[in-house]
Amino acid sequence: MNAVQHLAGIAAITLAAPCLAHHSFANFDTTKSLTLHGTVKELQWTNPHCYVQLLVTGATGSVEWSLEMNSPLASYRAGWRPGSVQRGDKVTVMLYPTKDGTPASRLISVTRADGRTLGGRPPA
Amino acid sequence: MIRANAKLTAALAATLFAAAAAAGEPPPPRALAFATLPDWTGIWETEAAAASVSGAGAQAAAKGASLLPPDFKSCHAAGFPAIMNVPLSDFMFELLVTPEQTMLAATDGTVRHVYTDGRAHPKPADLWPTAAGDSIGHWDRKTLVIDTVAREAGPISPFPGSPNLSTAAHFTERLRRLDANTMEDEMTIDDPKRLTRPMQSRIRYTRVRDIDRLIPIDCEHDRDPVVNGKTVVAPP
Repeated sequence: MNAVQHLAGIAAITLAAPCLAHHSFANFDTTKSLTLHGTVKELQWTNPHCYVQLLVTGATGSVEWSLEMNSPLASYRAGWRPGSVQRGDKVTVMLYPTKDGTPASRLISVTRADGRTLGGRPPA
Repeated sequence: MIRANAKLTAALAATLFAAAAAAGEPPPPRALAFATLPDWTGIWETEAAAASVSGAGAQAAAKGASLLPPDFKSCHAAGFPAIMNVPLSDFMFELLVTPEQTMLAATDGTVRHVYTDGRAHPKPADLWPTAAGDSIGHWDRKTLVIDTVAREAGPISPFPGSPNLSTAAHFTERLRRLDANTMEDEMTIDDPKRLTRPMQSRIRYTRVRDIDRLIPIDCEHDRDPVVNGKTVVAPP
């Protein structure tokens, strides 16, 4: 048996820690955001996370980025739909980049050519 | 997208009762039993989940998740009691209230059956620990009083720092609706093997208005493996 845990004196404690994800985001640098312009290859509308696969052309050619979102249900509630972006769409994305520089990220928002932005506000 | 199901159900029940009365027959006993139960139709989520749907709440959620240990991963149903307090915008549940049982079904696949037909917990020889434990309940007017035992040993929630419980943990709850759009669960957890005193919590739920059905969440397309002690995003 582990050591007895003393929890007295706490009037009300929540049953879940104040962490809001099913996996760590420690691989993302949430202290800075990055803006990219690119072409949508695919929107993966899948559990547990949706992804925008984005082709970004740079000095070394085209690089495919994996932009992680929330689940389909959470994304739906934030205004997304399975057809919100289509293959070939030119978009501007704001994201939290990975700390190790791999072309993946936590997606903050997508602005489409029609000017509509999906995904939330710029980070504080 | 909220449908007028509650009004439709009430109208249907009134019609049935009227038809029975017109025929000179009393309503069937089970219909009378249903009439005494509270109306908990709808979809419910914790207040914290409602706040994390978008905007500043979603940004705060991302920053909070960045504080988790790099290798943290929890890709399975929350189970009990964690399901009663998951502060995520894709965790919500429905409550199906019948005379014989109240069933809670959540988007992550967690299901709880609270039997209210007067039965006791199974005898020790017929009982073994499960993720949801064994729940029985009774009605105190419009409050469902729940008694749960035989929950598998382990942390209260999958998140780091959560207290670890034994199979001897005993859970009592008082679940009720406070108003049209708010529910509350008061829970007491006692575990003589792991806790020096009972721990208590009070969690409130709000009615979900932008979703009209439970949409499952799962890990079928998991692209977040743990590699060398760190969660990474796998290539497509």
